[in-house]
Amino acid sequence: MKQIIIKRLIIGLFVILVVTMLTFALLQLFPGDPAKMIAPWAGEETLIEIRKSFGLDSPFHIQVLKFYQDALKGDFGESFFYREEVRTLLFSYFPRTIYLTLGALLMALVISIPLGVLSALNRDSFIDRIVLFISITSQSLPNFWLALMFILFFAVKLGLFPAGGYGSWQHLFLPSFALACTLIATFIRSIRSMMIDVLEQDFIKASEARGIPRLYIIKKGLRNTFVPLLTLFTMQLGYMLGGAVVIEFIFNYPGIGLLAMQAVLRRDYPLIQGLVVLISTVFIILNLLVDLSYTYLDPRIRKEEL
Amino acid sequence: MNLDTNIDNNTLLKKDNINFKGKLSRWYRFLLTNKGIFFGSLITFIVIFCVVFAPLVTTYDPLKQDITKRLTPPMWQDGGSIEHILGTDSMGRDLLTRIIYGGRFSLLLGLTSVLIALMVGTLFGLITGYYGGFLENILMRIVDIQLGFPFIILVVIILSIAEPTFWVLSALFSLLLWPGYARVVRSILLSEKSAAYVLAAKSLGASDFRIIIIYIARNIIPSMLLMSTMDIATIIITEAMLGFVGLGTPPPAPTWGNIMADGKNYISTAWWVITFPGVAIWITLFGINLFGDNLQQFVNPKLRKKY
Repeated sequence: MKQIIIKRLIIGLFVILVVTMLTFALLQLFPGDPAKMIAPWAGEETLIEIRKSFGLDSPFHIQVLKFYQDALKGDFGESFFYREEVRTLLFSYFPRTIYLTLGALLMALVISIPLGVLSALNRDSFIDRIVLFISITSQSLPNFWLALMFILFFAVKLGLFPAGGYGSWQHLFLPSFALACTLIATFIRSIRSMMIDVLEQDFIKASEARGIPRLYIIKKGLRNTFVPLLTLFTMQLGYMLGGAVVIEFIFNYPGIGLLAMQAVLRRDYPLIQGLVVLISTVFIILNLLVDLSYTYLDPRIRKEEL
Repeated sequence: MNLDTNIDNNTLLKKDNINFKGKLSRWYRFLLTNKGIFFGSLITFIVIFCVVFAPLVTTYDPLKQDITKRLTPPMWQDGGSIEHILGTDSMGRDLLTRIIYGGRFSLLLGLTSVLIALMVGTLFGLITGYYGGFLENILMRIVDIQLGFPFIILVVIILSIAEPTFWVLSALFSLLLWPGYARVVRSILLSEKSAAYVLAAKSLGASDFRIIIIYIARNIIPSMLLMSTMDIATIIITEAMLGFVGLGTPPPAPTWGNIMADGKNYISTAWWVITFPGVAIWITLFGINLFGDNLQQFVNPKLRKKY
């Protein structure tokens, strides 16, 4: 087990290396001069100065090496646009995206647990069909579109929630709801099938026969779904991070999604690099956790896949 | 790989076709009797029909502008008319027509990208899964990189460098998708490789090529079909999203994404422009997902009795 984790971490480092290298190469292909983006109206002399101060005048391989050298110390340079340490920017923006994601998780659980249990208890009935409809619908709706509809309805028409920004839990509600959309589908489905599994087991039938209340049985069953749901959530996190980019863009929610979008549009090289490193690290750790939880749940794959 | 035996075995091949029958008929029976698959493919086919025969479904030209009629509301609202059922956009173009023609782009993009990814991924997965070794290592590292890369940033960077034409987008999507196929094919192959029937075939002298194509490939088909339907759905949403943030194919040619991007500017005055493309996506993906969902029960029989 220990060996596997170490091996995976080494692979993770390798991946981050390749990913940053790729990003560097891609950024070289950007048309336009980043110095010009920093100071659009500057004269030639100032431009040369700017290039010098950001190290943009040195050859490509020197830039790459310098980046790794600094990155090892945890220093990703200074953002062109914000004139702030990339590290500080990431530290202040990333938690907001985590709140958003956790909000989405909570929302998804609140919606999908009752629906999943309901459809498991009323299998193949009308209720079951309706829940199936809801789950497939939530899977089919583009979340950015749903976000816009929410703004149109809850913010503009009813004025219940703010249409964008950051501050209170009200600001979190609509974006988390929109982000929860895809999670709801997967959650409902797995809660339903796991509940059915539990309901079919002998000990449940026995306790039912003994007259133990239904609610208690449901609680027992739900406990079994906890670990698989967490795994599912972790698996979806990568996808949700992608969704968060647009959701944050729409709600003008200052998380790393919005930061990433703006960084690319503003050609903010150090910030893009910092974000790429941060997000890939998060992805790699999450993937490792998912795989480990799989091995924990299903010992048969313990040897092979990892 | 020994191809000669393959020619000798031509007669055997025919005999194998008969053996397929049992398996195939099980397929048909499942596909025909499963309601979800039926309705899912019905919805999908209706959408495909509308999109392919767009000129028959609507008589308008998706590009024809009529400034006098700009932002006409849908027919059931005040000011709307039967001429433009879903109203018009900011240039006075018929919205329904644009949505239908826009669907051409989205569906074709999904299909093309998935087909390319499927072919490349399957080939690579088969080779690496069967032979292992060096190539397998390379594949697994590519998959690792792909899993670790924040793809949305990659896409945004690439699309702000390259003009997002149809082929650039499909190249990008297939580039993102193929390692997934390769990985699944490889893992199926790994579990099937040591199965008794493969060993039996091997001991009877069947070539590697024959074993992969005749015996193992058909175990892969259901999973691949499932993955591709799900991926087409993802591509349709992603394209719309990219178009929406202004990184998709630029106008005037309609795509679901750029209709929405245009509608975003009029969201407070003309709700329909942004709403209906989303509804179109919803209907299309509902069909695809309903189909895929039920297909999953076939691919993964453990789920079957539960839905």
